[in-house]
Amino acid sequence: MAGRERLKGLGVVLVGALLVAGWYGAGAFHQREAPREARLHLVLDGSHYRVPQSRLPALQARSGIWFRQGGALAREGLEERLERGMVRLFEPVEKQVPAFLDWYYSLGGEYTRLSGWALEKMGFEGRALVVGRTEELLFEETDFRSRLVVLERGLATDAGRYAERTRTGWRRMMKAALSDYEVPPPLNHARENDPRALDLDGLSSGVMADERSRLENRLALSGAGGIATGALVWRTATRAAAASGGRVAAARGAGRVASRAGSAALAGLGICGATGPLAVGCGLVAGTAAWISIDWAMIEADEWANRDRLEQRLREGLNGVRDDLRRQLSRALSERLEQLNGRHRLRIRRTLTPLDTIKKAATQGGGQTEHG
Amino acid sequence: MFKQYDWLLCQNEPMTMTPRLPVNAPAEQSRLIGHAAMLLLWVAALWLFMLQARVLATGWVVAIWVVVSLVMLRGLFRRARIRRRAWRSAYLYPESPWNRRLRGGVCLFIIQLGKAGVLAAILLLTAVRIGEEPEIWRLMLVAVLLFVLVRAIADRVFWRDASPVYRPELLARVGQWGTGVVMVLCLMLWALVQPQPDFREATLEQALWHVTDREAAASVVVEKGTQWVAAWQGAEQWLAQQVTALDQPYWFRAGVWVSVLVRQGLFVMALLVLFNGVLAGRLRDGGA
Repeated sequence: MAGRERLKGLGVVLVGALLVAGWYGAGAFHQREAPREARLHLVLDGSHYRVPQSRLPALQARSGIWFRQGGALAREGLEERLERGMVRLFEPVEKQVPAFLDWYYSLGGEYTRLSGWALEKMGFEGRALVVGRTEELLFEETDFRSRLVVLERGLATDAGRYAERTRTGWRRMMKAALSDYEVPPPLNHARENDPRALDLDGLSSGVMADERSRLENRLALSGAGGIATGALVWRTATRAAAASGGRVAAARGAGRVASRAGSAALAGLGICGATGPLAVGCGLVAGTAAWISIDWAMIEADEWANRDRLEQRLREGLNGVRDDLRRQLSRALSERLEQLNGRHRLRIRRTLTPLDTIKKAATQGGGQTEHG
Repeated sequence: MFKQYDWLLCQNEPMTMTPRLPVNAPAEQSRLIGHAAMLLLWVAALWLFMLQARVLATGWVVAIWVVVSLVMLRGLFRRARIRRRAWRSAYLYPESPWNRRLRGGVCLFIIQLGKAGVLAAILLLTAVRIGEEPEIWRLMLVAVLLFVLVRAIADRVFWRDASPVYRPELLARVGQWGTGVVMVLCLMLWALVQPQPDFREATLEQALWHVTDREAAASVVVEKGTQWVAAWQGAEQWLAQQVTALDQPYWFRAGVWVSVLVRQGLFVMALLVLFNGVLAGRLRDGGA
């Protein structure tokens, strides 16, 4: 009986202990959480995805390849377009070469060169006269600058189209790759942005539109620089021509001017007689006529001897300008495309970098990954 | 007293085929304490399972589910046999061959096994989802005491009047209903005051994803199971918020509450079936 009572007492103690332990211990311990792979919340074209961390390097690599290939295709297409554009740009200029040569081997051209030579002798920038006229005849007459601007704009637009096409394809590729991880939008997504979500739409919408306009501006700027540099190059080329003309003029220079003056004076005296005031006037007119006639004859002789060579030099100079301009534009395009695609790749790499960076970001700035 | 009762049994014998059995007295105090201790240990085991469930391997989870199912089956099968005996006594002559055929064999066992399996799964999954919510676990402690007390009181009240053959079933029912109603009411009140996620502007898909996504476990069985239970609860919450926002008719709102009642009722029933299984035969029910 006593043993029974002891057992009963023990039971009461046990029940009491269990009740007290259960009552106070109920909230004291925490349920163990299952280990779950960290996942990244991505938003693309308004759709939401939760991507396991292990999938991110593959997505990153695929995106990188995609943009590299897109960049290569864009460069290829733009190079073709640039080549065609350059031919069209310089066609009118080349057609203008005979007109330039006609001017060059004319009295006007001759006297312009002589004036330039004389100004040079007096310490002024006389060569600019020839160069300026040459520029005017070859380039300004053909509206070269505005056509170059149009070409640049066209290239920039095409570059934008290529970039857009690459991005569209990338979005399609990403959506297919992410389809297994699509989830509904988080609660209250419309009201406030989820700080844990990474918005890939930023890679393809507003930010990229800004990038495109920046590309156009910078390309245009590089084109403007291209014109200046190109002008220098063809000036150098035409300077050679002008210099040859200048040299001819210089050769004819002091001695020839004197000989022309002497010849003209002798011709004047021969025609008008040796004395009298009328003889001076008559001599001046006759001398001028003789001067012009001699000049004309010399120009004709110069043209006969040098026109083809000068034309060849001019065309070579123009080719040089064209190649230089094409190289500059090509380099500007490549740089901008590389910059644009590189920025894409960088943003994607930053977005899809799964490892410590994200964890660090998660602890520092509100978190990008979701565990569990 | 016993003789009087035996006489009553003998009077009924030709008609009801009730066998002559010893009449058991109400449970003693020490036995009640033993019952309470056992049930408390089972609640503690459930609590331990809850703490570890999300990291347990599927094999362990299945083993635990089998054990809980078998304990439940013990009570369910015994009670089913008692009910079957009552039905046979009421409808069949003692000499009928159907008495033997319908006494409850493999078919009854399989049906009860199925019920036990489902209820064990509900109990375990709900326990996992309850998590470390102290109020619910305290309510379970209270339920243990209430259950033991109700059974003891019912035993004391009915021992003179109820047939000892059917009394275990009667006690199980009284204990189940008495404790169950209190528990369900408490759980409903608790559900009413619990904070809920804001689903007013969410679609059903969003709401379901939101609640199921939080359920993770090492075992796919636990993960999927808890996700289903969470989806049920999430759908209730979403529906409740939608009907409130859209000013739906009362019967529609009542439907939502019926769903809450069913969910809570299933959990309470599973818990009490487990309690009955643990205590099956402890009150010398002897009717199996």
